Amino acid sequence: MVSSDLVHESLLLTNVTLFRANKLIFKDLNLNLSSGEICILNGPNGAGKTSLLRIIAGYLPFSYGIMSLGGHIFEPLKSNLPIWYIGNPFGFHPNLSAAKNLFQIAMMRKLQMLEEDKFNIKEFIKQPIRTLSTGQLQRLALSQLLLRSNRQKEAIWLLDEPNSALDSSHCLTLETLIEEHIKFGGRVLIAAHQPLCRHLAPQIIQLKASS
Amino acid sequence: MFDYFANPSRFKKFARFILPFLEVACFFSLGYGLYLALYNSPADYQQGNAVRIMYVHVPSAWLALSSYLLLGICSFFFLVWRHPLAEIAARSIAPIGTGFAFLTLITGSLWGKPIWGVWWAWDGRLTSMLVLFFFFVGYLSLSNAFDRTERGARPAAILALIGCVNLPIVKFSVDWWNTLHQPASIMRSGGISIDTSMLWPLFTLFFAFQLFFIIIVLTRMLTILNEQKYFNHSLRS
Amino acid sequence: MILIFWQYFIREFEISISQASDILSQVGFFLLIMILFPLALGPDPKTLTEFGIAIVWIAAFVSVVPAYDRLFLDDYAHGFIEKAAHNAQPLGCYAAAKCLCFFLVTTLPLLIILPAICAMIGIKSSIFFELALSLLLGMFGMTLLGGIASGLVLGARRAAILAAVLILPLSSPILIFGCMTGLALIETAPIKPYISIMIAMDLSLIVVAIPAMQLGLKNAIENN
Repeated sequence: MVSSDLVHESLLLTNVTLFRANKLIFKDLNLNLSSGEICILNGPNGAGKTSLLRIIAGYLPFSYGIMSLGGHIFEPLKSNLPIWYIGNPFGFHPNLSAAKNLFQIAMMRKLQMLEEDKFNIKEFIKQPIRTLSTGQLQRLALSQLLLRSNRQKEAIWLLDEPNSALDSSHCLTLETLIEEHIKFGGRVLIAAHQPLCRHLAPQIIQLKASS
Repeated sequence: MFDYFANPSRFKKFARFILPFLEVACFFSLGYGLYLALYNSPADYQQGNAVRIMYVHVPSAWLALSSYLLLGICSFFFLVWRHPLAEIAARSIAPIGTGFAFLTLITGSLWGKPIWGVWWAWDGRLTSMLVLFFFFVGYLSLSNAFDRTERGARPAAILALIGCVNLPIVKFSVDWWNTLHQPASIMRSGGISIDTSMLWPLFTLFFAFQLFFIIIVLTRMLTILNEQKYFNHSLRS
Repeated sequence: MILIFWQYFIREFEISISQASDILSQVGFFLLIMILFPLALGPDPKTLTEFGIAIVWIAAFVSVVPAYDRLFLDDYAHGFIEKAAHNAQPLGCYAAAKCLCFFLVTTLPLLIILPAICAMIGIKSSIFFELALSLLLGMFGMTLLGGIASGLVLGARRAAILAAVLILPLSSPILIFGCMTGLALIETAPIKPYISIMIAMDLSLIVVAIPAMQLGLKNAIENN
């Protein structure tokens, strides 16, 4: 459990090494992500971008190294620092409507439903997920980030290819959203092939293809 | 002691040291036990020479049961303390336990035919051994069902623990079930006031089987450890 | 905790409703087995009544076992279990809600057609409620076992057959005591001891199953 004064400390990954199926994915990776910072992961397919995001989300255990927050071991799934991993699969059930899926996520996180509809999801909110296009799905998934409460200001956003299926106007919405979030002291980690948020001077981590 | 041998390299050293002694002891006790069992013990006054199946059947049954218990203990150690050696031990024990359970069923069946007149009876003992065999089969198939071997370790360990919890329930339920259908009459197990001339070969063979079990498990564990070491070397280079 | 449990339950229920054909096919399978047995055993009412209870239990088991490997599969494949892991409540809460819903959705239809089944195989209607109670208790335990197996086989090859292999030896006590209850009913012997044992088994299964499912699901996420 992270006590409330720790949530502003920087998230530190020291010499994190990941093996999967006896294969080295990345070795001795270091990352320092403080409150209000943004970081972009670059690299070819299979370099471990998604794996790194999933490690920070707490889904994937790494082989060696330390992940800490303010000098304490950081266990993402047990901490009260909100973490949002947005990546495929998004966690929506295909037979339920978009509204119900979003409501379920809000309930699980004890958050209020949307106040503003920045990604224009109203137009398909009643449809079941299986009828949505890839872009609509991505907009719905990103709308999770708009579910607000006081705590969410410090949240870590882990976005896996967030703009791969967005049109240019929604891309812009996303960039503004990210800018707002880091202004309020949140942190954002993005794995992206397309350029995103270059004007925010992000840290860039280059991952090499694993041999 | 657990902590002392929990270190893989220390364990390897110890296992390599002790294996030859065990092998010699196993060879001689097996030979002596078989000699006693097959030549130097009397035939049963009712069962005749068929009673000699007991000398294989009973030690296998004991080993099958105790190896499941051991499997459960190793799984517990692995789940709670995430100890890699415990996982390797569990992985090594499982197939051997399966083998002994199978041997118990087969020898029991061979023994049952001349004595009871049937290959199989739905008696409490037999059924619970069959269920134990299925637990082993479930464990083996679950731990080998994943594309990566290490992925199956934890699910299989959870299953082994649940099996341990369930085992007494199975045992008692089949006993109860049996008493309802057929009163215990045909089961004339080897436990009837057994004579020392039969007890000696039985214990000698049990000892030999035990040694055999330990030898095989240690050898398998060493093999797995060496395999992992090989992988780690190739990863580092 | 109760609120989120209820939320999960509602979600499961809505999903089951949207896949109502699954429930129908399971009930159909149950009926099919119940019809096949008299065809195989012959029409003699005495034999049918004698074997009837066992047939009902076997048909109930066989009709649900194929569904168990898919219990958590959809949510696993769609990434929902990961989302649930972020929740302040443990994953066991989600798993328990899922099992409860699955239990109700699979067992209640069976109970609804049970009177017709009883008439078909010549079981007296006076023992119907006790039979239904024992079936309810047995299927509850089965669902928990199914939940454990389903959590363990996530991501495995040939998961369906594997789940069945894991469940069947574990389920033998339920089958034994369930059938003993039924036989006692037919002989108008007291069934209270059997029912108590079944309740005890269900309660202990709850204690075992929820942590086991939680561990299994967590392990499945970590290896996704």
